[in-house]
Amino acid sequence: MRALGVLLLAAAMAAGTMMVGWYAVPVLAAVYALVMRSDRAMRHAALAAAIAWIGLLARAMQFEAFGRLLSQLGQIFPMPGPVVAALTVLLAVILAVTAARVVTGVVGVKD
Amino acid sequence: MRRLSLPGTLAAATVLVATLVVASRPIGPLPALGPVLDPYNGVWNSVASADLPADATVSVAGLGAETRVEYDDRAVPHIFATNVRDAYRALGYVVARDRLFQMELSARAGGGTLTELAGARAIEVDRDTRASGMPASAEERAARIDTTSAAYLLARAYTDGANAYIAALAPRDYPIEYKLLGRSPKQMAVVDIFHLLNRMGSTLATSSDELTHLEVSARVGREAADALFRMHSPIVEPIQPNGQSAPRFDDVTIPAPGAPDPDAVALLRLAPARSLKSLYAFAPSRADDAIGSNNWAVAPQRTAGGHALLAGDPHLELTLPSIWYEAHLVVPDTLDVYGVTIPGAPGIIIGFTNAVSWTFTNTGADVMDYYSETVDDGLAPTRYKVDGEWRSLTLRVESYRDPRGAVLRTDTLRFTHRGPMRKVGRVWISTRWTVLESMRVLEGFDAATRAKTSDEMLAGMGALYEAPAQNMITADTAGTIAIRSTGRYPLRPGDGRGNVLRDGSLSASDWTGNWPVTDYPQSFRPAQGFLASANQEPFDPKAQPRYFGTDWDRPWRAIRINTLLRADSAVTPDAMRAFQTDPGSVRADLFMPVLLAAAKSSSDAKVTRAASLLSEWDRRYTRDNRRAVLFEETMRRLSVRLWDELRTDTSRGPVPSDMITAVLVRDSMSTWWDDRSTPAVESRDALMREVMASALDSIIAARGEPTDDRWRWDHVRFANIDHLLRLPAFSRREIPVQGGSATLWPSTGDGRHGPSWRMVVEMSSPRRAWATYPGGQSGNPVSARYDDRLSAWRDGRLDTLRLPAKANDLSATQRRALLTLTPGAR
Repeated sequence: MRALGVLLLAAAMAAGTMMVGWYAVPVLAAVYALVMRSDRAMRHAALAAAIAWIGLLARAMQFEAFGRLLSQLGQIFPMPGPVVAALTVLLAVILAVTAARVVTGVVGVKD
Repeated sequence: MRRLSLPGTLAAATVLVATLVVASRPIGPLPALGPVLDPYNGVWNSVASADLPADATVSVAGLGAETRVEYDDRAVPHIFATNVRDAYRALGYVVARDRLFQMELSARAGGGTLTELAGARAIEVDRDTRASGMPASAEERAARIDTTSAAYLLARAYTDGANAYIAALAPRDYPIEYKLLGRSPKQMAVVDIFHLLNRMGSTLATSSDELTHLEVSARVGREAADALFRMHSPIVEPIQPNGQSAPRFDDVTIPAPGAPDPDAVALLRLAPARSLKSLYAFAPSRADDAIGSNNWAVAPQRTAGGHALLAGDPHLELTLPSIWYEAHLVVPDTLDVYGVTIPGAPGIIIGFTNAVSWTFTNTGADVMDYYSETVDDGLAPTRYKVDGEWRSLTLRVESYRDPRGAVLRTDTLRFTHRGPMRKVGRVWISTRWTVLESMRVLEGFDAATRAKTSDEMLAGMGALYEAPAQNMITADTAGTIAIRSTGRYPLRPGDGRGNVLRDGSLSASDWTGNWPVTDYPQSFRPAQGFLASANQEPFDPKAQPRYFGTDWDRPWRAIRINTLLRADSAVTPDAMRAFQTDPGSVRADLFMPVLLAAAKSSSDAKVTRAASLLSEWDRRYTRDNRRAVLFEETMRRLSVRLWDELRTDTSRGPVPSDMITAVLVRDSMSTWWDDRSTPAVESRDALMREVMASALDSIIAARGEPTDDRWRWDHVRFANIDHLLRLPAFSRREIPVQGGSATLWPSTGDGRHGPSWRMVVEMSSPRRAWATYPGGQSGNPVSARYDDRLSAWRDGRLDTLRLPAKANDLSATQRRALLTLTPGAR
């Protein structure tokens, strides 16, 4: 059930990102934490965010131009391209885990 | 219910807020990371538009009938429409599809609204642009345009097509530059076309000859200034053939440096040179002749195939994406034009129809004059005096806005009847410039694409096209070749000169009219069987001594082209292609013997060694040659020491071209040869020996011994092609080139200028054509189509152009993608 919950949350985060943008991730993580009221909410949110954004990146990786983009982003930021990809996922994870932690901190968790 | 620790919650809240701030706001040069790194809507999605979809159908409002766009294997769109307006609407659509950011950036650069895209960092660029009067002029012209004219309707169709693409664009599909800047594309308006055309004018039709003449007069007197920056080239190889079979060296003398001209000195005290330079600050910087161009045409009697041939090779700033976009427009029985357009310009600028081919080089005539005005208030004038009477200045308040619309600052611009007026030092100077008054450029190009013969094409442009003045060369299927320096040229009062600051308080200083077209430099069906231009003085001064300008490029490229064409009585398209990258140098051929002769009488081992190394050179700027580097350093040092009289404590001052040096070479004891910073009095040969020795020292110090690979030309000269935002990740730098100063593939300065579109057309039936440009059709840096032509361009190869006469003519392997535009509701 837990795995299904994480996958559903990941799907929601991916869909939310596609429809409204990056800030869907912390919003959905917060909602998830509010509903779950569990200290596992943070871990689930983090995992779901990572899965969602890795999935979306995997979609981009299907295109032939991905390698060129990775290399160019590496020059723009500047850091190795794969690190930019990792930072992308990390951004989602941080947003999700902190949003979930703030909500659980405010509303508390079930014993 | 259990509570989690408060410090932990506070820490999480702090990290969350900090991350949200970093994700949602730009910090320093970094964009807001959230929207940028968003894996679906941000930069990662740029890969989705890297390739053209194989088959797409789009509804476009205003389209009269279904229009088919077939992209060939070079990603060139072939537009098949049932009427001309639909063809232009489709052109606007497909150019926006591939080059949207470039379209907006070019329009904003010409309109002085870059701050609205890039923020306050662009404000000084915008201020210079607005002070030039270009945006005001564009707005005025857009307001005055006849909205029932064919040119307007085509322009409107083009912008509507572009806007249809923009309107349907989801934010996730914005070009990557918008995402990095955190901006959205703006809709295009007809005025943007005028902004773009003005921008081209600022690249091609500005001149600083007044300042040059003034500075030089203030140092060495007016007579010397007139001789060093001449009305007429002393080496005559004109565009309009003069019946000679070789360049002519006119017998001119360069007077010795004289006493400073007191009037020039007084004026420079009031308006220092560095302030005067602000008058040209809006014009893009350029290096020597690397922004010049070559074109030539050969009549059927001198071609192997018996058809007229035409070669086009405009040299401009090299950028990624390229300034050019290749396209083909077909409307059955009405229009069939192939060539390159500038993103944002409605129409083909250089190209060919079924009947005529054409291309340009820049004329460089003087079409920009300055007037010293008398004003009622030195700080904030509202009136200026003409013939003893005060006239009101037109005031215009300019507001500079940031991307959110907030006003960053305002300026008040002032205009006389001549044009914009600016304060330079303690002097108010107004400008008159044909570019600001050019109304009918679009009509000119429209007429050109409908012409059936060379004569018709040049007649249409002669009647309509005004600025920037261009040497337009044509070749048609009937075998006619022709050239005309087309544009609008002012007639000036008095001695007719435009390279001196005129007294604005007199109406007698104003332009008195325009040159009649019959007096323009031109030639139709020349007896010699070929025509060529390379930005040299268009007239033989013996045939036409009137003032036309002074900013003529050195004639080296023109001489080289004519030499190649005179030597070949059966020219092939492939020979034309090879000529475009010919590494031979008239300049080296001329100066090398002088250098070697000077070294002969020397016993200095260093001079002897330098001469020996130079004599090993075949005088060709091939990529693998190892001696051009020494010649170039020698010539650079020669120029610095020869023109020491023009130097000031703070700047090198204006430098005469090496065409003047070539004239001076004939006078070995001229006082100009003496470098006054040394105790010795140098003659020509002494100075040449010294610069050869010091150049050798310098090159060895920088590159090692002459056997070192660092002496190879491909380790010395490069093309550097920057992205429009100068982002290194999207730029391609250090591309080795075959060419140097004044070769047909010119490469000088910072390597950011050069051949921007090489084209060869055979006016056979059916037409055959070959071309390439440095870059690719796509403006998306992650696309393979962004720079897929660079290697061919670097190696001097041309692609064979696909020329389908009708839809579905391209074979399956030749067709890359299909776009069908269908009429949609407005």
